[in-house]
Amino acid sequence: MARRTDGKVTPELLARYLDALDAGPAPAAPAEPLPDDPAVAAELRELLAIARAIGSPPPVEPTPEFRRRGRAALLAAISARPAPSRPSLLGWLTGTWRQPFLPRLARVPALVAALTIALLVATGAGVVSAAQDALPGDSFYPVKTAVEDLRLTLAADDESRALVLLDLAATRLSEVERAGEAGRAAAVAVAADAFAREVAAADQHLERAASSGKDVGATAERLAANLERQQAALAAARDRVPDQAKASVARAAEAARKGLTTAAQRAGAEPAGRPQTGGPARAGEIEEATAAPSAPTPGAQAPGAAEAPSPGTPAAPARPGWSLGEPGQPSSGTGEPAGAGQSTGEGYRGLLAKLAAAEAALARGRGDTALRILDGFESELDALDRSGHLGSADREALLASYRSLVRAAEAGANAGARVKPYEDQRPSDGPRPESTHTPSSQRGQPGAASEPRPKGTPEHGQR
Amino acid sequence: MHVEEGLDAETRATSADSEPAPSEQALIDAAIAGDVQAFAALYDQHLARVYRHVCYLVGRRADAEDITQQTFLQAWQAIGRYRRTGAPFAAWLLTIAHNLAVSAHRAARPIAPLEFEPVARGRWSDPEAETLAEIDREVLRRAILRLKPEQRQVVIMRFVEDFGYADVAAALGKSEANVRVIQHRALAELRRLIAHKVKV
Repeated sequence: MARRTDGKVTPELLARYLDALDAGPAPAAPAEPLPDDPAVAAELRELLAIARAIGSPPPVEPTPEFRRRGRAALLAAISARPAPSRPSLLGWLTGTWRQPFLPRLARVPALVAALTIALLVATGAGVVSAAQDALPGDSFYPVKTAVEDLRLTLAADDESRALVLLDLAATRLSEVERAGEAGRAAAVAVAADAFAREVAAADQHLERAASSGKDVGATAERLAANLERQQAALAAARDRVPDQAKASVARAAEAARKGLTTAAQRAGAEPAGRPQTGGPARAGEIEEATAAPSAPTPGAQAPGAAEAPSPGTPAAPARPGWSLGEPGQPSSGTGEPAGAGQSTGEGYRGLLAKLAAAEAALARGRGDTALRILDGFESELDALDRSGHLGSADREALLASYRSLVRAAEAGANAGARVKPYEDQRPSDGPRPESTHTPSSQRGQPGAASEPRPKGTPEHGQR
Repeated sequence: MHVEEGLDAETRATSADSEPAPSEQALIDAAIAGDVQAFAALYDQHLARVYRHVCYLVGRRADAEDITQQTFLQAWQAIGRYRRTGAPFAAWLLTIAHNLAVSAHRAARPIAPLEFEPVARGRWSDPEAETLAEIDREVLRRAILRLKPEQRQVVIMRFVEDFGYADVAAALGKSEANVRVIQHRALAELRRLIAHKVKV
C-alpha cells in the first residue's frame, strides 16, 4: 500500500525508501510503493535516483610502487617516533609528525594476474588475437592493454619488467605509426604519451635492478639499441601524423632520447651521435634524425658528444619525490609545474582518451555519441585548465582537436567520408581562424564569446 | 562488481557490521599498545580503501598519495584516542582522510578532475558508453564536492563508502537522526545543482 504523507518528503521518509533501495530493482520501481501524493512521489523518485547514481568509489587502486614505498616509509616514520599513547598538542600544532617517505621492495598482485588469465582463457584466444591490432579508442584496446598489464605483472624482477616495458614501448610506437597513417590524432597522442611513460618506467626498473647489484649491461645495451631505432622512427613519424599530435610525438621522441642516454651509460658507452645526412651528429635533435642509424658501438665516443653524467646517476623519475608536501601545494604528475609546452598526469591523459573515444565514435558513424563525449571533454578541459595543470600549448592543441571533431560530428561525417579533421589550425600566413572558444578567464564577461558549443545542436545550446 | 574488488582484503563496513572483525580488533588493540607491526597490518588492510576515498575527494593521484600517507601517519599518532563507539576503524580512518583532504585543498579551487585509469574497465563493453558513464559520474562527483562539508561527508560515507547510519553517526559524532536530516538536505541540494546545471 502506498504511504500517505503530509505533502512533503521528510528525512525519515527518505531514509525508509533508501533502505529499501538496496533490495529494489530500480528507483522507478522501488520495493516499497511510492506515496500517493504525486509531487512527493516525484521528488522521492529523483532523490532515490541520485542516491543510486552516486554509486561506488572510483575503481582505482594504489600502485604497487606506492604500496611498497608507503609501507616502508610509514614504518620508518613510526620507528623514528615514540610509541603513541596520547598525541601531544605540540605535535599536532607543529606538524612534526610529517616526514618523508622512503621506498622499498615490490609486491605482485598474483591473484589479480591469475583471474585475468582465467578470464582470457574463458573468452578464447580469438578475442586476444583480435585485440592485437587495436588502436586507442577501439573496442578491443582495453583487452590489449589488459594482456600487457598481465605480462608486466608476471615479470619476475625489475630487469624482466624493463624488458617487457621495452617491448610494450615498441607496440606503442607501432600504434603511433598506424594511427598516424589513419589520421587519428587523438589515438596518436594517447599512444605517444604511453610510449614516453613506458620508456621512463623501463629505465626506472633497470635502475632498481642495477642498484640491487645486478649486472644489467646486456639489457641496457639492448634497451639503448631499441631506443635509438625508436627515436629515429618517432622523428620520421612526427612528419606524418596530424598536427594536433605532433607535440605528443615530440615528447615521446624526447623520452626515447633521454632513455637512450641513460641506457647507453649503463651499457658502458657514451651516447653515440651518428653522422646524419646533411647535418652534424647531434643525438636527440629530432629534426635532424633521418634514416634509422646503425646501432652504437659500445665504448665508442661520439664526436661532439656531451660529457656523460657520472655513472649511476639515475634518470629523472617520472614521479615526484616522496617528501610530503605542505597542504595547499598539490604536486604535479612529474614534480614540474605545467609549463607552456607540457602537460602531464592522468588528467591530461584522460582528456586524450576522451578525444580518442569521440574520434572512434565518429569513425563508427555515432555522431551523437561523439558530441556527448565532446561535451564532457569540454567540461573536463575547463576544470583541468582552471586547476593550473594544463600547459597552454597543450590546451590549444586539445582545443584544436576538439573543434575538428565537433565540426566532423556536425557535418555528419561517417567512417569512410570523414571531413579532414586535422588540417593545420595554425596557418603560416594570414590571420588565424576565428576562435569560438572563450578562455575561462573571460567567461561571463560582457562581450566574451559564447561557450564552444556546436551550433544548431539544441542540447549543447541549452547549456 | 569489479573483479579486483572481490580480491580486496578489506571488507566494506555496513550498518549491520559495525564491530571490527576479531583479527582487526586484536590489531587495533596491539597498535594502541604501541605495536608497530600491528599498525602496519592495519595499513595493509585499509590502504586501498583510504586511497580510493582520497582519490574521490582530490582527483589527482599524486595528491591522493600524499594525503593517504598523511592519513596513516596521523592515525598512528592518534590511535590512542580511537574510541570504539561503534564506528568501524575504516570509518575513523576515512574521517581523518576527509579532514586532511579538505584542509589540503581548501584553497585549491576549482575542483581538480578525477584522474585515474580504471583498474578494471569493462573489457568487452562499449568504450563509448564507458566514457559517457565516466562523464556522468564526474558531473555527480563534482556536485558532491560542492556540498557543504558535513553534507558532503554524509553523502560520501553513506553512498560512496556504503556505511550505515549508526556508523556514520559514530564516526562524525552526531546522532542518527541528525545524519538522516543532513542526508536529506544533501540529496536535495544535489538535485538542485544537477537540475539547474549549476557550474560545478
